[in-house]
Parts: sequence; structure tokens; C-alpha cells
Amino acid sequence: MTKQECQRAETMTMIDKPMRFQAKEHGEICLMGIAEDPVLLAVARQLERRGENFFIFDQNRYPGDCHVNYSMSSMGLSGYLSIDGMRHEIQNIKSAYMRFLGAPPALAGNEEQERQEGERFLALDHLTRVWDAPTIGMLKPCATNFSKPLQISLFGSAQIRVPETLLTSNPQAALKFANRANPVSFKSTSSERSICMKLEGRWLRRLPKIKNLPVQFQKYIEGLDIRVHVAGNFIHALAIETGASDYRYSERYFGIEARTWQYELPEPIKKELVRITQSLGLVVSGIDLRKTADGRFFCFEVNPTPGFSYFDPEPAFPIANAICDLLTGETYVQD
Amino acid sequence: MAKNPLLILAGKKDAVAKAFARYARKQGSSVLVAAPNMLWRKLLPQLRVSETCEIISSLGQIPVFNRVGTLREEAWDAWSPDDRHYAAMESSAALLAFLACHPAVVNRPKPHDFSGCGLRSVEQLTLGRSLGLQTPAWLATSELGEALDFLSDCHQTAIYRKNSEDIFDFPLATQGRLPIKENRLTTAVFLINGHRGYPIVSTYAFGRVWHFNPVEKKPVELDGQEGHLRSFFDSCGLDFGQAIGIKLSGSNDYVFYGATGFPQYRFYRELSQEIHEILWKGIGGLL
Repeated sequence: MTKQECQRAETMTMIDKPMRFQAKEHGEICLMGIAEDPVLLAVARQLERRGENFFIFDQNRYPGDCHVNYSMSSMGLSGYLSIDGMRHEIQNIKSAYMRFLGAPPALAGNEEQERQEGERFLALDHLTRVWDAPTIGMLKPCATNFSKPLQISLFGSAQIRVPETLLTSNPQAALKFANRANPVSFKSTSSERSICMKLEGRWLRRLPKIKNLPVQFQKYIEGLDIRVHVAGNFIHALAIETGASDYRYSERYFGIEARTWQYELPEPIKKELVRITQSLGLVVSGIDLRKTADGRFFCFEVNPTPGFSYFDPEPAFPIANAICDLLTGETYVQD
Repeated sequence: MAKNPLLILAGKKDAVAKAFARYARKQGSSVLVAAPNMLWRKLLPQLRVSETCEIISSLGQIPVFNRVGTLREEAWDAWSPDDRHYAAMESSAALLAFLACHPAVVNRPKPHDFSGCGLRSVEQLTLGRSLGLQTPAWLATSELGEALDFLSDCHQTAIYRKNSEDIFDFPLATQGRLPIKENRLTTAVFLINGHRGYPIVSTYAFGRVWHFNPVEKKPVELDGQEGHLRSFFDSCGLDFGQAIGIKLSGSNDYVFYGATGFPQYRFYRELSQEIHEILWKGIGGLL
């Protein structure tokens, strides 16, 4: 085993890999999150169209109209989720899709309310950890996204590269890296949203400030942005042409209109993206790739709870349908 | 390069980290101690990720004793309130990456838990039960009526003395959040289904387990539980951990309440030397 393989094997012990997803044969499908979330709604619409038995547990109505209640006895785990007084027994849940979003803005800054928000979220997170319903979007595997350098160090891919990265709080080291790897971009190290910017002009002048907090710098990779969504073994790729350093903010921040089209990835790359997703313990992911002019693929991030609705083309809605296929048991993921 | 360098990441008030640092220095190690929020200011580490996903630290192969619980936003109180959350998140992310790339880390963190345990309370009870440990009845609910019914049924009470008064504490007994600080356990008594019991703190380090009764401040035997507890810590992936349980008086019954990857053992100093030796050997073994 090479040093790199040893290091990766060691690091991989940091995540559990529940790499099996097979919906139970019978029961209800549970969607958890904000009822108005376009992503949750997209899945709900497809389930409804298929005539599937499902319900939505709305995090904004919990606790209140929605409740959770579960316990362990000598008979095992039992309990229910209740919505407007109607109980859904947890033993009867066939599969679940969890997409919890942050606390409502009204809570921000209020410590007591934030604490309560944490407690109520944890009660649901606990439940998905101990129940036997296969669940997409469980917090535990999603947590690799809390640290982007950690996440990319777990990929271990021969076919898909990552941009050369430096994480430092040393301005001189950052400047040296910027001069060598020129051009260089920077973005948040954590899952906190940030706009990926090129290190130039006023940002270079502000470099001394990084001594207060480490910053992630990456060699800027020129090429075509490709947003990939993985759901089980299904792959959907969309090419995004924009002159901006961060396609997500192309119009909003940079004022550049983006052009998108469906993109056919080479078969080995598709297989590799499925493997990367599953190696992180995920069933569904949103992956940011860039293809260089010489045909190499670079990966920037694997989003464990992708907001795919913007990328899901009508009228087929292939991404939402691929997730529905998993939830209904039409497709599955094996070890 | 200093002789036998060791990095201890710990808060300023962490007595276990301080005691272990003293021990390691006596063994001839060159010990660096850094608070987790000061790591990047104090040691200026650099992490490089290559195109082939290899992550390398400028601090080389230095072993790390990880005593990080959580990074609290208060640690950035010099920052504007609007920036504290971002600073805490970014520092956490950087620290996770830093700890991931070092070959010898006592307790290697998990992305969702710095201490390395990675299991939440009910998950710990579920795992403990599956490994043969007796666990208390528990309920998680958002319905007040259900909670009150459960409490009236379960007959589990913790009593401890505070300001010369007996404090009866139902939630602490039922949620497994027992007070583990020295001054809050001095007269703790537990009633489980009417039986009196006393707490047991079991410290685990690299396969060895020590049991201690913090009420009487003395080591105890815990027949028949060693293997279960070892399996528990192995399953969690912890090198160094601590379990809390209740031993019922006059019987062999032991009820496991939970565990942490952030052991404290100030209240049984006589064992600390032995624990330090095992930790020291364990760190050597990881390299």
C-alpha cells in the first residue's frame, strides 16, 4: 500500500459508509424538510404523479402541527411521526428523503432559540440514524462537506483530479503559492456559502488579513463547468458556459448570462462519479466539475444535499425521477 | 526538528491535556500545546492538497493528541457578531482537514464530531444494547404529554447534593446526561426501578479499561462488562474514551448510559499515571 493509500484508508475511517440503499417493499415514503422547498416539491410532484403513498414532514411546523415520538424497548424501536394528528408509524416507513435546511432567519442571533432549533433538529437526525428506513440525505455522511479539503482528500480518484490547493493563514505562503500557481482562486473552506473569486486586484491587497483565519486557495482551472447530479447509479450532467469564476453567481454577482446544455460524460467518468459519491457514504450528490481544454476533469466539491431543481429539465425531470426510483425501490444501491 | 515532537490540541482549562503534557515532557517529548482556535495563528500550519487528492501538512508527521470537543463561536468574541459564525465554521473545517492528514491522531475526529465518538446519545444506547450492554429505557418526543407519561413510568431518579440540599433530577437520569464534574457527583445516588445504584465512570485507552466510582473515589471491578465496553469503543473508532453507567447495589446489574470521546479523570488521579503510560505507548504505536 502506498503512503497515499495508507493515509486515505486512515482518513476513511472517519466516515461510516452505509453504502446500501434499498427501499422496503411496503410502506409509506417520508419526505422531511420545508414543504415549500422547490427540491422537496419536485420529488413530491413525481411521487404524486406515480400514485405513490407518501407524506411530507414539514420542519417549519415541527413541533406544533408535526410531532416526533420514538423509543426503544425489548421489542425494538417503535414510534411515529404525526402530522395534524395523523400518525405515521416509523416501522411502516418504506424509505425517506431528508432535506433539512437552516433555521428560519428570524431565529438567527437568538441563542436560546438557536439552541432549541438544534435540539429539535437532533431529535430527527437521531431518528434517521436508528430507524431501519433507508434514508437519503442523512446528516452523518453529509458531514464530509463541512470541510472541503477533507472531502477532496477522500476522493482518491485516478481519473478525476482536484485543483492544487493550499490552506493557510500565512500571507507570505499564500503569495508564494499565488505566484507559482497563477492564476489562483479562493473560496470558503467549510460548507458556508461563498463566491469563488480570483485572487487579484483588491483581494491581493487584503491578503495580510488571512493571518486571522486560514483561507483555502486553489489553482484556477480554466475550462467548461459541468454540474453533475448522481442519484444511485443514475447520472445527469449539465454543461454551463459562463465567463464568471463561479457559475452559481454568474448573473447575480458577475452580471454574465450563463448558457446551459445537457452534457454526455465519458462512461469511465460517470462510473467514477458514482464511486466517489458512494465512497463518501452518499446516495445522492451534486458534483461541480470542470473540463479542461486538454480533456481532463477536475472536481471542486461534492454537495451532499444538492438543490437540483434549477438543473432538472422539464418535462421529464430526470433527477427528481431518479430519486423517486430509489425511494420507491425501482432502483437500489448495493454494497 | 525537536526530539519526539507531540502536538496537543486542547482548550486552556483542559486538565487532562495539561497532565498529559507534563507526562510527555518527562518522557523527553517536545510538546506543543495549542488551543484549537489558535492553531492557525500560533503554529501557522499549511495544508497542501495535490491534484491526486493527497493532503500534506507542513508540520510533517507530528502525532496529535486531539482534545477538541467543539469550537464555540465565543472563541471569536474579538470578531464582529456577524462574522463569528463564519469564523467558527471555517476554523472547524480547517481543523478537520488538518487532523485528517496526520498519521497519528488520538482520537481521530469524524466530520460530524471533533471528539471522534461520532454517535449521538440514542445511537450510543442502540449500539450499546446491540453489543450486550444493558441500557435504560428512553423516549425521544416532541409531545409533552408523552414525555410526562414516560417519566412517571420509568422510576429513574438521580439525586445529588447542591448547596446542602438533595436535588432530584429526572431528566439527567433518563437522558444519560449525568453530571460528571467532581463537585456535582459527591453524593450522587441513583434509583432505578426502586433499586439504589451508584455511577461508574469507565475510561478506555487503547484497549484497556479502568472503572471508577466517583462517589467513593475509588477504582471498582465491573465483572462481565469489559468485553462489551471494549467492543463499544472499538465500534466508535475511539482510542481514548469514557463511558458512564450505573451499577445497582447488591447485584451485578450495570446500566450503560452513554459515552464520550472527551474523557475527564481529574477525580481519580491515582490512575492517571497508568492511563498516561498507555496513551503514550498508544501514540507510539500509531506512528
